[in-house]
Amino acid sequence: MHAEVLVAGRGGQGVLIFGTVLAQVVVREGREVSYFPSYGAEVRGGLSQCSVVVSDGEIASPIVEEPDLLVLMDPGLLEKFGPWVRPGGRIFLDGKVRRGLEGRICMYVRASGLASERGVPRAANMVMLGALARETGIVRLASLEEALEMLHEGEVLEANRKALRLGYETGARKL
Amino acid sequence: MGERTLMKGNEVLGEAAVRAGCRFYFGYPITPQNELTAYMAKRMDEVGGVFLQSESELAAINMIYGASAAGARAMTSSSGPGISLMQEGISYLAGAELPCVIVNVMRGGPGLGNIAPSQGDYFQATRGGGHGDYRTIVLAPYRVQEMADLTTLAFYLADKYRTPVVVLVDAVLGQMMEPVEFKEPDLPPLPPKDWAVGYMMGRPKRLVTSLYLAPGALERHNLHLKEKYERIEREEVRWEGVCLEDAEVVLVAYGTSARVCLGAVMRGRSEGRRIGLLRPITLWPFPWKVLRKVAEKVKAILVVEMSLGQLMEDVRLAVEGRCPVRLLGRPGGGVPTVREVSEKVEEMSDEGVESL
Amino acid sequence: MKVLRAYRKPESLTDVKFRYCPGCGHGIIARLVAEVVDELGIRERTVGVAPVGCAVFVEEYFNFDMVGAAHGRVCPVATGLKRVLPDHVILGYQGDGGLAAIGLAEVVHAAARGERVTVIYVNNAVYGMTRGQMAPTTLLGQRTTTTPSGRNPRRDGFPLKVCELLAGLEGTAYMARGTVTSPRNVRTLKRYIERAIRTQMEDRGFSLVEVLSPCPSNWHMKPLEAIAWVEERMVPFYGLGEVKT
Repeated sequence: MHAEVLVAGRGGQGVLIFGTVLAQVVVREGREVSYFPSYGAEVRGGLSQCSVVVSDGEIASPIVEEPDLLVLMDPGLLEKFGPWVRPGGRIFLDGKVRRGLEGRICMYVRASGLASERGVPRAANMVMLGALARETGIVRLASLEEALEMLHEGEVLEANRKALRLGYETGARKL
Repeated sequence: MGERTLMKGNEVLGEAAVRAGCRFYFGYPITPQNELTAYMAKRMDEVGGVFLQSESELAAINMIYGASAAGARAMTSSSGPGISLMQEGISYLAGAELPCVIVNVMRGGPGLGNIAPSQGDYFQATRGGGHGDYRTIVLAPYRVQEMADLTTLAFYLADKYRTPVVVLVDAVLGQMMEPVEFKEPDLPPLPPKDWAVGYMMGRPKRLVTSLYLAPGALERHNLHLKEKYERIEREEVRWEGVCLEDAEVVLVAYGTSARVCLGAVMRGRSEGRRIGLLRPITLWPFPWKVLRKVAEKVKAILVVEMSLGQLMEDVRLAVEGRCPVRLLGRPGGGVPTVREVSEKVEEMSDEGVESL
Repeated sequence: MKVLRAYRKPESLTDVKFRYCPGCGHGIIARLVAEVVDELGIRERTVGVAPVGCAVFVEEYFNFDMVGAAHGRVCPVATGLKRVLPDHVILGYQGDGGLAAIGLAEVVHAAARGERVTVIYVNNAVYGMTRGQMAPTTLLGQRTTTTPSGRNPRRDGFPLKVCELLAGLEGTAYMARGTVTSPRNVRTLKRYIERAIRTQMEDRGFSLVEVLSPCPSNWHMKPLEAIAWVEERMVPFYGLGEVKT
């Protein structure tokens, strides 16, 4: 298996955490992974994105140019990042869009909505990650939960676990 | 076998240094290597080493000079503008034959430039960089794992040859995360540092200096340095080849550019193109000989770098006109893409060798 | 008949003959430092740092381990040494060009850190080895090769009083200014040097002794005239004594 994932959103939407957790999980599963965040001079705000390459073999470029999977925490970014996706690739959006993108499959995950309703509004990114795991099989739920346990504890862990399971159970809907 | 952990490149440089016995770190903040400085601050506390945030890079490199003169394994790190300030000290370290490791996480230049990835400090690193007739060993990893392995090696080579060693990475490597395993190095023992100052205990005084005022003394010293550099060129050249056997077009690149080129080789091969990659791991000593051999049997070489022809200059010197050498250079924050490299290779193949 | 030897070369000096110009203050200062190191019994655990300029010669003269530093970089080199050898005495030896011009940032920060090192700072109001250019310590009106009509404060600014500058920093523990113009001043200076080194040995902070020193060659004076010039011009401006204890 080889998957190139691009994650993007606005500062504060947990894009980099999304990528980090995904990469952690892949390492736990004994496969190869690279994670590269975009970084800027500003500490807060602005666009946030990261590249995660998941593979059973050697990874060449860590910078994803033509993602197999695009995750957008802000659906408003579809116009910017959508065309990068390889034809036939899938785009996961936290929100509905009026028009999809030709040749790519748009998947709707009600991540922020679900997270807010269940009292974990800051864990929308984990809802999204759960849904991504469910729909693509890129990583297993069990290893995702193990990785969360390594990263967090207490209330934060519980909130994240809840969000993750929520996303995994709900999955995504093709637009 | 140790455990594989996901770590950021900059932090891996620090952890590998600590494991190599480095207990003295002096440095000044600069993006994009700040994670390394912060990591060293934390780790030196844990292992009982010394972390000191200096007032400038100028001071940092001279603190390294003092620590190294006392026989300690010492390291500093910075990025282009700071490395420029360190050149004075690096020249003195080379002149006084003091070992140390200098990490440069390259950013865009010249001047203040930007903080994006770059390979624009190639000349500075491989040509000595400061005043006088000297060289520094330059190691250029292209994976986070290799950042660990080459940092270990850097301390070893520094001590073995009594010379500053530069670990040259770009900001992509510094900022990215990959799984890494810290291996116990299997390296031959080093001679005692019978030149270091401190603890006289009855022996005659020692003098660590780069000053040779007596008539003929500096010439003798520089010839001694040259002999050392020649030994390094004989014994320490490191490189990696991918699909070189039947390649018609060979890519030459290091660091992140080499990762991109590896992607282009994979893509090209899957489409039936005879494309290969030669990746210098030591930028100095440069793999002249292998490049010359490669140049004899390929149709063309494409140099891919995040600068405008610095690496290409060495490639041309090695090739000596045996085959055409082309450049794909992205300066000032641009990172070459697999598509760009692939297209350039196609274009070169289509043009035909005669026109190249 | 019993022969009494009143004069003996300190063990902390090598057999290399001093090559300072006649009437230069460096010879006296280097000897005093060597005497103090001998008397404190610390020769084998002392490391000296020599810079660039006339101050560099001590690299050969001192008979303890020496490290030659770049111009103005004595303090960071001393810092590196001290951090690796905390039980050693680290002695910097600098002129006014190295310390007060090109290396001022370095000395200020070493002092602010309270670095446990001692700096012997030779102030002769001129760049010596490069043949008499203006130093940061050159007095107003003083003629040098780069101030041929005399130091003009409008153009060249004012001389720096390093002891007073550093004394305000919390990291400094001992600051004194002496001179070599008379046997009495030499004895006082030796006491300052000893106190400065003791300050380091007692782990109290950064210590520095400034020495107002004649440079007859670059002042274009006879040695005695140069001594008189220190007394008449430099001492009134800079002052003598312990600035901080």
